[in-house]
Amino acid sequence: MSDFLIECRGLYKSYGLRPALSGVDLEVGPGRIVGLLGPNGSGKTTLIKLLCGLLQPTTGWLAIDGEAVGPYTKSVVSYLPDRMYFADWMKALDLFDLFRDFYADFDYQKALAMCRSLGVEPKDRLKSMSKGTKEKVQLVLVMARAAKLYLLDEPIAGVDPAARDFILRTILTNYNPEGTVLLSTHLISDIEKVLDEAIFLKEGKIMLHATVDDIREKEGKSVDALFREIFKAEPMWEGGEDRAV
Amino acid sequence: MDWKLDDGRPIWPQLSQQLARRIIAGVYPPGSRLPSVRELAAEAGVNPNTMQRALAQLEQEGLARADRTAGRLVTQDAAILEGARLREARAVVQDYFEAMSALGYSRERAVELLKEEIP
Amino acid sequence: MLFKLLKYDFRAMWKQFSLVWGAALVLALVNRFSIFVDADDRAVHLRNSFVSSVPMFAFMAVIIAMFVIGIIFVINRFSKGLLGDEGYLMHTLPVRSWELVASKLICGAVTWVGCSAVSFLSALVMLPLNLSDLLQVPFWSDILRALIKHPDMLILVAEFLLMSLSAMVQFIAAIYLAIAIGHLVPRHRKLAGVAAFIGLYILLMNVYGRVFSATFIQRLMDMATANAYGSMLTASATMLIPAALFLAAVCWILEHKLNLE
Repeated sequence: MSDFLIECRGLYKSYGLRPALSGVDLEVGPGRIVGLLGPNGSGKTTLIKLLCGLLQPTTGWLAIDGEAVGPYTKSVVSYLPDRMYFADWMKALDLFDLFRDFYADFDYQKALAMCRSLGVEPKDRLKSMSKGTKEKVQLVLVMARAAKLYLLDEPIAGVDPAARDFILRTILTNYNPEGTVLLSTHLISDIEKVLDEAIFLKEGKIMLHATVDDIREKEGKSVDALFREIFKAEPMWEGGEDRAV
Repeated sequence: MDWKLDDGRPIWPQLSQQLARRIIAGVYPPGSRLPSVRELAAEAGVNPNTMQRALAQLEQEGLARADRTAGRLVTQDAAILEGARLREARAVVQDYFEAMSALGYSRERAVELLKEEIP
Repeated sequence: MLFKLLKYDFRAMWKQFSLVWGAALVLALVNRFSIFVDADDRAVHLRNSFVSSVPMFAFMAVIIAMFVIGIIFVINRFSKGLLGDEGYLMHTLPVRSWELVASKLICGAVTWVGCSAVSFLSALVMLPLNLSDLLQVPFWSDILRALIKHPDMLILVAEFLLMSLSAMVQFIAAIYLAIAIGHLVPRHRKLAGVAAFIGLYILLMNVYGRVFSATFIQRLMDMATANAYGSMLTASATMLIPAALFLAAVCWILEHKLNLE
């Protein structure tokens, strides 16, 4: 078994003729908090969906904890999608039951405690909940597991500040020390302090993969500032490819 | 005491400096136990690995030492504490000179201004 | 894991059908008393047509609605439940694709069996049977005696049920495969699914046409006269074999070509 929790080799994925990922090589070790950063359409969601098995790569391969995507990897991956995925007739408690049935690492009591601290009533029907509350339920489902790999797709994009704080605090305190968190976002300044590593994704390719401290040391600026420089002022900036690692 | 982090510098040296200042200021008294990495990381809102690195730096400077049962203890060595205090004080002085020089004051003039503050 | 999946599929099914099935049975009961009048002399008379027509109409509507909902249910549980937003949950559960498909298939088939049973039951309820008649011992003992005399009747009934079930499974498998094929197309997935469904049945008819040549059919007919059991089993097999192939294709698509965009 390899030392890496995530390993991708020559990952290529296209929708029809349009490539979403073109040749991604990636290694991420255990116990890391990694930011997957890039503008919309850069391939963040595609990469995450490949890792959790909702998409199949066109070419290339990937492994999680040394295994190809399958029931084993799914049992150690906790995935927060960018949309609501549950049937409306359920209550939050029904979902907790479902997760307890399928995931050995789901902590039912922890889920209830998280609901309390987020002000979610687990006996309510999902149908009667607001969009924000549903998102909180989904977050509780994902974070109440002791997974090896958390894949969080834009977890802080649409939520209120309280939930955003909660998400970051939960990531910091609740994730298990052996677990790795891979979270995609375009709101970097909020999460920069939380990250070990940053991956810059641009047009389906990895431009930069380094630790946050290395970036700050080398560039003399924050990851957020570097990101703005690379992605916002890009047309004005010649020789940008030199910075890719 | 809040955690203040600048952009443009690695995070861990800033954390270790602020931890050192807390020790000097007695927020964490000599011989007491430091909060765990997780607690400190959550408090500062930073990655636990980063906080770990900052604490390792403190150990290297001798301000804290790992204890097998109790996590990390603040040093009771007065010489080390005094040395750290002096180092931080020098940093404050340097900051003062830098700020004054930005306002167009020479070092000598800056010292004079400082003396005027003492009756 | 399959049993856990079934638990949730059946729970979802029950939420939807308990009401419909209940309504069908209740309306049948209403019809029982609006169509037939129990007179004191234990004879039953028909009521005048106006009083009875309204509940009868409601009953027919509920039965038709039940079967329409039944078909939509099977389609939706697969297309939305596995290839829509809910698929984000189902496909990240630590289960194999075939377990997901098997769970949906079993639940769908049971739903249709349930719908058939409810319509059969409600027809029984509507009949002007007297409870005391039903509980008479001679009536049941006659039936029992007849069965003991001709035990093969039970086997024939069982085989007939198996044949119906096979036809149902084949139909559901074709629906699933059509939806899965539609899913492979980047755009107009629903349209592609419908086209795939029609295509599948044309293909199936063609294959049947080739395999079952006139002489083959003749031989089958001869066999049916000689041995009714065998012919019904053969019929079941001819439906179950393509169904198995369809389901294998569905699993393969879900396993290797899943694209939840």
